[in-house]
Amino acid sequence: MAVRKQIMPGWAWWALSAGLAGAMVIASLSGSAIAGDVAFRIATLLIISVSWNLMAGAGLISLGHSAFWGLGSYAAALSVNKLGFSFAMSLIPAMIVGALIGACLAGITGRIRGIYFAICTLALSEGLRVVAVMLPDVTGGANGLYLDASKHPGPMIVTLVASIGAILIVFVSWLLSRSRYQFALRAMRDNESASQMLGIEPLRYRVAIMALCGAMASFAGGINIWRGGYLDPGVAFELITTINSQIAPILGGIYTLPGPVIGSILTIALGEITRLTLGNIIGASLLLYGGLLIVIVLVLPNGVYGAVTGVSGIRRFPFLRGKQPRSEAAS
Amino acid sequence: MTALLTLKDVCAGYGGSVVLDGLSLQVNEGEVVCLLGANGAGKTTATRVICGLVKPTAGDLTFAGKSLLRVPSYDRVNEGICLSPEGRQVFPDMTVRENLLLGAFCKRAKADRAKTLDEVLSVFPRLAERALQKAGLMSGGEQQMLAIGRALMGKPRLLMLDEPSLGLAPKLVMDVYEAVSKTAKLGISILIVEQNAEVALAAADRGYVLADGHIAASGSAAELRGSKLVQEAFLGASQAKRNSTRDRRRT
Amino acid sequence: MTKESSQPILEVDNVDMVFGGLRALDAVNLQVRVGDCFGIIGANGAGKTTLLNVITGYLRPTKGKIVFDGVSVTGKTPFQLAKSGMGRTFQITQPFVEMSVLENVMTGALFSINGRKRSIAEARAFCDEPLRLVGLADQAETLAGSLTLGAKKKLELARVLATEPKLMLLDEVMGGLTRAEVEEISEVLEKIRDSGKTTIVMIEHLVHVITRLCDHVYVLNFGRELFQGRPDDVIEHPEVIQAYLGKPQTTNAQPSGT
Repeated sequence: MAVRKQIMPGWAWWALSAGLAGAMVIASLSGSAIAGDVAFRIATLLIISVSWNLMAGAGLISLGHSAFWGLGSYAAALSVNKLGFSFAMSLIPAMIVGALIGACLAGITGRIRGIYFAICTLALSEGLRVVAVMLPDVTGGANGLYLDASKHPGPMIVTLVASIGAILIVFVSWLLSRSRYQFALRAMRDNESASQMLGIEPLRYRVAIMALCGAMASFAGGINIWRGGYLDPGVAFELITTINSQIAPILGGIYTLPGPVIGSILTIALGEITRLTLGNIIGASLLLYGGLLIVIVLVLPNGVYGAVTGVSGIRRFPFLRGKQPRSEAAS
Repeated sequence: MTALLTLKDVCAGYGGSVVLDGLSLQVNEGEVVCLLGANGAGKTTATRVICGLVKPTAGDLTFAGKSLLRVPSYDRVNEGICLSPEGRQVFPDMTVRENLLLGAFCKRAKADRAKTLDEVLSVFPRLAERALQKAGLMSGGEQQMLAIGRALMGKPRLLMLDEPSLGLAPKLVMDVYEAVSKTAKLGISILIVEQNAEVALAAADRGYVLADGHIAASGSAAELRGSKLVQEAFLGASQAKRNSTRDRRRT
Repeated sequence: MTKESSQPILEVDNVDMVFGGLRALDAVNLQVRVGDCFGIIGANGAGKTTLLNVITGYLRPTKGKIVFDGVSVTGKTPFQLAKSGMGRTFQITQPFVEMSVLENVMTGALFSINGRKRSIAEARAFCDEPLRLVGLADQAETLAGSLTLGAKKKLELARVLATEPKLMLLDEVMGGLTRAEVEEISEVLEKIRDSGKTTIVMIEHLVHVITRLCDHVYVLNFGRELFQGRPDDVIEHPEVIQAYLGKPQTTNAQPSGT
C-alpha cells in the first residue's frame, strides 16, 4: 500500500534527525578516539549509501561505487602531494572528479539499464584499479602513496567535516525527495520508456543524478584518505566499499529517505557489537556479522524503515506475489 | 452429470482485504461454464484460488471428488487443472513447438506428449504451420491459440481460460472461440473467465455472474442472456451505469 | 462540416517501417485534422501499434515523413514529441508500478508543457479532474502495480489526460473493461472530442466504440491501408468485413443486447 503508516508526528522526525545530527557533531568533537572513529565511519558510510540509494532510486543499480570512492581518494591525495592543497581544498577536486566521472558514465552508458548498467559500473571500478596500478609515476603503483602528513589538520577536524558533510548530504537527499525531480527519477526507475511520453528526458536526469551521486561518493573517498593517510590501488578501489554502500540502504529500507541513515547506523553498530563480543576468535565476528545481515534481510525484506512504517520501496519478491494486496481489494 | 470442480463458500483475499466472499460454483464433466464479472469482482482471484496460487481463508474446494485444499499449486496440474492465463504469457523467445512441449512438463502429460502434440496441432492447424517460428513473432490471436494449446498439452480435465478474447480483433475472437468449442468436443471441461459476456455466453452451457466476491446470478447461458442484470452490466442494452445495476442487485 | 476545413495536426506521409525482412508498415499515408477523432482498426499484427510507435518517436521510420502541428518530426525522440504536445497510452499498460495511482498521474501533470510551471501541490490538485473523469478517484492511493488490467487502462488514460496533449493517441484503451465501463470511458472521450481542445487518434477493437466516437476510420491490413473513410462506410466495406470483422456489424452497439 502506498499510504504511509504515521508512526510519529512531523516534529518528532525533525527532533530525531536533529538529535542524530547533534550526536554526530558531539562525537566528532568529544576527543574520544573511539567515539570519533565510530562517528567517522558512520559518516562516510552514510554518504556513500545515500549516494548509492539515490542512484538506485532512479533505476541505476551501481556495482562500482568504489570507483567514485577511489577516484575521490586519489584526487584528494594527489592535489595535496603534488599541488600542495590544504585539507579543505583537497575535497574540492575530489568532488569535481566524482561529478565528472558520474556524468561521463551516465553519458556513455546511455540507455543501458539494469544488470548491464551494473556490469558497466563494476567494469569501471576494476578498470580504474588496473589503470592506477599501471601509472606508478602518479599513483605510486602497487607500492601506494602516503599523504603529506604536514598538511593534516588533526583527526578531530577531519571527523567533524565528515560528519557535517554527511548531515548536509542527507539534507540534500531530503530536499530531492520533496522536489519534482523525485517524480522524474522514480518514473525512470519504473519505466524509462513510458516516462518519455510524459515529457521526461531520461538522459538529462540521469546525468544530473549520477554527477550528484558521484560527487557525494568521491567526497567520502576524499575525506577517508585523511584518516589512514595511505592509498594504493587495491585499497582505493576495494569491492567492499561498493558492497557496504548497498548493504546499508537495503538494511534500512531501499529507495526510502531514512533507509540509508538507519542502515548505516545499524551496520556500524552490528559490526562493533560482533567485534567486541567475538573479536578474539579470528573470523567469528565476521561470520556472525554476515549471518545477522542475512537474517535481517530475510525477515525484513523492505528494510527496517519499511517494516516499521509499511512503506515498501520495492515490490515484493515475485514468488511472494500471492501475498501482495491487489486491486480487487481496493475496489 | 457428475461434478468435476466444486467451490463451496470460498473466501479469499490479499493481506487484510477480502476479495472472494463466499463464492460457490460448480463445473460438471464435459461442461463449458463461463464466469462473468466486472473489473475487480474477483474473477482472476477465483482462477488463482483454483490453481492454488492463492489460499482460501474459508470454504472448500474439491476436484473430481477430492479436496484440493492440501494440494500445492504445482501438483494441481497433475490432477488435471490447466490455466491459460490472462494476457497470454507465451514464452516469446521459444518456438511454438517448444512452448507447446513445455505445457506437457507435468508427470501426467509427459509420457504421451508426442501424441498430445499431434492432437493439439490438429485442433489448431495454424500452430502446426508455425511450429518452428518464435512465439513472440506471432500475432495476438495466434499467441492466444498457443496459450490455449499449451494448456491443453497438460492433458487437463479442466481447462481454465482467463480473458481469451482480450485485445483481439473481432474476427480473431471468433477464431479463438471456434477453437474453444473444438476443445469442448474433446470432452474437456472448460471454465471461461470473461469480460466479453456476449461471446462467452454464446460458447458456454452455463454461466455465473460474479459481483463483490460472490455469485450474483447464475443459470443456463440462454437464461443469463435474457437476464436484466447481465444485459445492463455486460451486453450494453441500455445506458445504465454500474451504480444502477448495483442498486438492483441489493433489492 | 467545419472539420473538413480545419488544419491537419498530424500527417503520416508515405511511411515504411521494415524490421529485418518484415515489412511492418508499407506506404502508410494518413492525415488527422484538428479536433478529429480518428480511428485505426485492423487485425492483430496488422501494424497498428507499430504505426503509433513510429508517430510517437519510439521507432524511426525506414522511409517517409511524420509532420506534427506543421513541423516535420521524423526522428524526434518521444520526450521531444511529448513536450510539443503529443500524448499516448500503451496497449500493454505501462504504469509506474511502484508509485500510487495519484503519483502516476501527477508525473504526467508535472512534466508536460504546462506542468513545468506547476508546483507539486498544484499538480496534485490538478490531478483530481482526470482521476474523477476515468473513475479512479477512489483508488488514488492504491499502488499502481496492484491494479486490475481494466483499472490500469483507466490509469493510462488519466495520465495522458494530465499532460493536456494537443494530440492524444490511445492504444486499445478500452481493452479489459466491462461494457458499463466502456460506456463511461466513451462518454469521457466524447466530452474531450467535443471540447475541441484535444485531437484523438484511437486504436480500438470495439467496433461500436469506433462507430460511436470516430469521424474517420483508417483500416490497416498487413501494414497497408485497406480502406479509409467514414465509420459507416468502413463497417460495410466487404474487404474490411472479410479481413477484420468476420461478419457484418450493425452500427448501434451489439445486436444481441437489444
